[in-house]
Amino acid sequence: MCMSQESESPLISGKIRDIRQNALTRIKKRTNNYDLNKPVSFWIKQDRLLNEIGKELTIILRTRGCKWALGDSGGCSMCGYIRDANIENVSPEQIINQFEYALRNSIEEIKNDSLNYIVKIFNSGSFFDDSEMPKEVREHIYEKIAQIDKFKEVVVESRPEFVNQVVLDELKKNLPNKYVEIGIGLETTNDYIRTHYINKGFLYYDFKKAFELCKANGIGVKAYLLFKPPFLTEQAAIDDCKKSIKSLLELGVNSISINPVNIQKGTLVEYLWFQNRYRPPWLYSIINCLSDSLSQPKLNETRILCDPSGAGKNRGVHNCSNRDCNKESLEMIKNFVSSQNINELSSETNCQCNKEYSLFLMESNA
Amino acid sequence: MKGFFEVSKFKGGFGKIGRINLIHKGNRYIKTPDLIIPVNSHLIKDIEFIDALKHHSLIKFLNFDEFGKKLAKSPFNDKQAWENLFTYYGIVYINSGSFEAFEHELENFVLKENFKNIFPIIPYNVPTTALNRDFATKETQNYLGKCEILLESHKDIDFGLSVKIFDNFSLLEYYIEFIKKHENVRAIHFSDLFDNLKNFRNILNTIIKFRQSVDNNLLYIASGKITPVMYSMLVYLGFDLIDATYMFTLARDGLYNIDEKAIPLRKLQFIPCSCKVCQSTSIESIHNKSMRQLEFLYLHNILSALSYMNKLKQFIATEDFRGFVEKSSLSDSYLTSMLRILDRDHIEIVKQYTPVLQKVKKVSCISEISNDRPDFREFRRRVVNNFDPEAYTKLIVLIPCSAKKPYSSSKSHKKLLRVLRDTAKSKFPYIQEFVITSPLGVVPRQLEDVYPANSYDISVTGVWSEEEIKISSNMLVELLSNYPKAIPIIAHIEENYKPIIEKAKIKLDLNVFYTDTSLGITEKESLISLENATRQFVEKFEGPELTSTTNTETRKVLALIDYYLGKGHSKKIIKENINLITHKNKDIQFIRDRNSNELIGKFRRSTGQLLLTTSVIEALLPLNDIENFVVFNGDRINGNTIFRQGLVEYGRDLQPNDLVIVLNATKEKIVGMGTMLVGTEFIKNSKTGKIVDVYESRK
Repeated sequence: MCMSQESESPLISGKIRDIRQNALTRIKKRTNNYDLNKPVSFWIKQDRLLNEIGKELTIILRTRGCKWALGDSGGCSMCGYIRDANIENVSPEQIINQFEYALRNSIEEIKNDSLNYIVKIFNSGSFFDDSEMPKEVREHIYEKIAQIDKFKEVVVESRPEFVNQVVLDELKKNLPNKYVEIGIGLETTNDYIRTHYINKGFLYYDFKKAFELCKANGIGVKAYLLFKPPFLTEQAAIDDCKKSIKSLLELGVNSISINPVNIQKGTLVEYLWFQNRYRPPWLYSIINCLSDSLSQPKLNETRILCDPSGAGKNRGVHNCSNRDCNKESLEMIKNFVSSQNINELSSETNCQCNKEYSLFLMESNA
Repeated sequence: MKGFFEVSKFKGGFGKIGRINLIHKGNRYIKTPDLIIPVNSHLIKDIEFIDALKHHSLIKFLNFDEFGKKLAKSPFNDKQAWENLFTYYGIVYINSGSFEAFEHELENFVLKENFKNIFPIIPYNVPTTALNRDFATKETQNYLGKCEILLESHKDIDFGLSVKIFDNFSLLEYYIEFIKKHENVRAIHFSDLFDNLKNFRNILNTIIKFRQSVDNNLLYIASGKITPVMYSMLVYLGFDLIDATYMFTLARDGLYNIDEKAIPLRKLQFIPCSCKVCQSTSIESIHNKSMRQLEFLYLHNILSALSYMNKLKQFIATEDFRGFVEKSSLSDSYLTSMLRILDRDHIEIVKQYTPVLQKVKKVSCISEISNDRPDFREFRRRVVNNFDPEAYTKLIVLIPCSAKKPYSSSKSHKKLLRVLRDTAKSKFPYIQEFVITSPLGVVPRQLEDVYPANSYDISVTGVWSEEEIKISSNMLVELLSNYPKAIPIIAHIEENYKPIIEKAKIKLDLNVFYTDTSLGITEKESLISLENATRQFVEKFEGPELTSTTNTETRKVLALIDYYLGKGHSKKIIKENINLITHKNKDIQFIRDRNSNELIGKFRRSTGQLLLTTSVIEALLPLNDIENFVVFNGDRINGNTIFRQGLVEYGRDLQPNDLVIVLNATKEKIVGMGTMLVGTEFIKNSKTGKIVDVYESRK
């Protein structure tokens, strides 16, 4: 599968490349003492499975890094995960060791838990990119996951160009009894925004092709939506996300994950944020967007997820500086995700900043 | 297409009073200039906020869909109340979100419900910023592409177009070309032009470029980081509506608006405002943490903005608007610079929008900025170019100005005139008086009743700046160079005026005799000195005979006609002495031929306006070197107004309030007389609008 031609965006990618190069140069100057046999990170926490509340085991593997970010385009305007990558090749053995390390240190807790698990294998790149995740690594991971009964669901991530029949056949063959979802960073259904403000490098058409293929093979697709990409006002971000959710519900994706922008180091978004030309979104906007674009019947067909990084902090999605205010909104979102019940969402909170927020929305450069 | 916006009157610079055809609360029009106040579903529930808007006409909605949903859950949910709200105000619809959302609401609500009081402005919110010039250009092209489709599919709807510059002034060409192509763009909304006042030169160039390129009947709207202290400058630059959303941004940032600046609320030690919300609280309450500070701030900020705008509207309606602009611009160095550069670099176009006269009792000159006012510069230019020296002048007397205007009504000038008349007696017409003054330079006695000589006011300290000396001395040189060298000059002036004359003497070989005014201009000894000097020259006067047009009133009317129509034309009209007969309305004087009693015209004393009759103007045909004309496409004018569509041709240098001759299409006949409502520059770039106010038309 090839990417559609019109996804090139020279105007933004030049700047992204420069910013990334500077960031990576600064990193290389420090001594990189990555232990390539240990993952970047792993954790267990509560999560929403398809039809129940359960737990997630998330493992972040350190690989060479995302091909798109390492390529000429410079990568996506909001993504700083390349900072965690090794840049140089990581051997299959080392990646397997990382996975084993995480599993080894989690398995006891998993076995003793009454709840079912969803296991998420993230490499901050594409799981199906052979140059990043060799086939033997994938097969090892599948084999191990298949052996653990508690793992009911599996999530991996990939750009659409790496989703093909071969990799899907691998999945089906090795994980026949697990529900598998492939997370694809669609970010928005709007091609212009995705191309010119996010620099994603593929079109909605490419995503739909990948989705149709997965659907035909009984593999689930989770669409990631980026809430408030750079260059959008807060209201435009709400408009865009609502429209994207509507389109994806009509398409019939299995899950939609709303990811508000958090300011990651070495990114174009951070560059704009430093100059007061970008403000991360408000939690109120997420709540408004979700409550306006969803209905209970639709929630019965599509799972909606939202677990923002850096929430409540200046660099992440936040309302005001009041900790309790942010906590209240986050709790609301968390309860909604857990229960998938639309009534958990209410735009009215106790904080004075609710009114500030309504004034903020009026501004055309916010 | 019916006019969406009509200019009523220009009032200084590009500033004007106008009206928008937008039906609301039983009225057909919304007057400009004015503020646009944003309203959302939170604010609509704030009773105090709604009360603050009760006398206001124009609000902004950003999101009908959200608004409607919120209202549906509120006490406002009966249909009648909803309609009342929507019909009470004129509404500007522009969102802060995506283009697509705007389109969606436009189709599904605004156009569907067919409200007659909603004016949509196409938003340009995304991107919020630009990385570089290429980025801005590409984005703007993309935006205009979307606008094109929208405008083409709704050709019968009037729209506003948002213009975003991103500090990249090369984008102007795209917008101008686009606006010229689409007749249903009726308003230009500049959303970021004033966000960085440091770019004042580029800001001015932008406005001038638009003025020279697109239809002058478009409505100009400004939004962005605009505080009340900027309002007068913006209106002076031709903006008709100003978006007050920034007052809410200030409130959100904890800033309290005092007109000259916004200060953090925590710094407030005294309450300087008498608005409703400020007067119902105290300093202690304001700093009390439990107080609802946000509501207090945005209510006060909006009320103070409305109050400032009302003050501006009052000044533009009845007072010297330019003086108000000068005063407020002094509060900010960039605004001051902007005004100075506008006066100095763009005078040729600005003067064409500036009325040549206005009716005000006092025009205050508060700083050196007043020197370059377009109306003052135009006065100086006309005096120099159009004042025709009387052939029989044998003596020139230079005198200082007086506080009271016109000068001859002041005690000081009455005394000086008494001396000159008593000394010269029947030879008084041989004397030409020039009043030396700042900032008008030099005023011939005959023109003391013309605006602005009849109404300016300046603080007299006895100190002349270099610039003031230069203005007066240059004018003196220009005027005196039209007289034979042999004509003597008496200077009856204070010591501090001497540098002006000495500077003029460097350029012209002048024969100046200074009287002794060491004790004061009107002290007995000084008046004797003037008398002696005058007698000394008057005794030597010899022919030619004084003609029949040398009485004081006639000299004045001759000079007035030349002032308005050009040097030398008065003599074709006035052959005999005239009488000025004051009407029972003391402001008007009838000008009649002393012998035949023929009505030559009228003179309005408050403004110095001259209105000549069609019959006397016949003497000027053919109008070879007179620019005060318009060519009408008919032989008979119906009504009192000539509109743009009725004009075939027009003079090159017409200004608002100029006297104008209306010719028929062949230019052989005079069909009427009038005064200009607009100037040549306006006409050049207009397809519609009122152009001439006709005071006499031939049947």
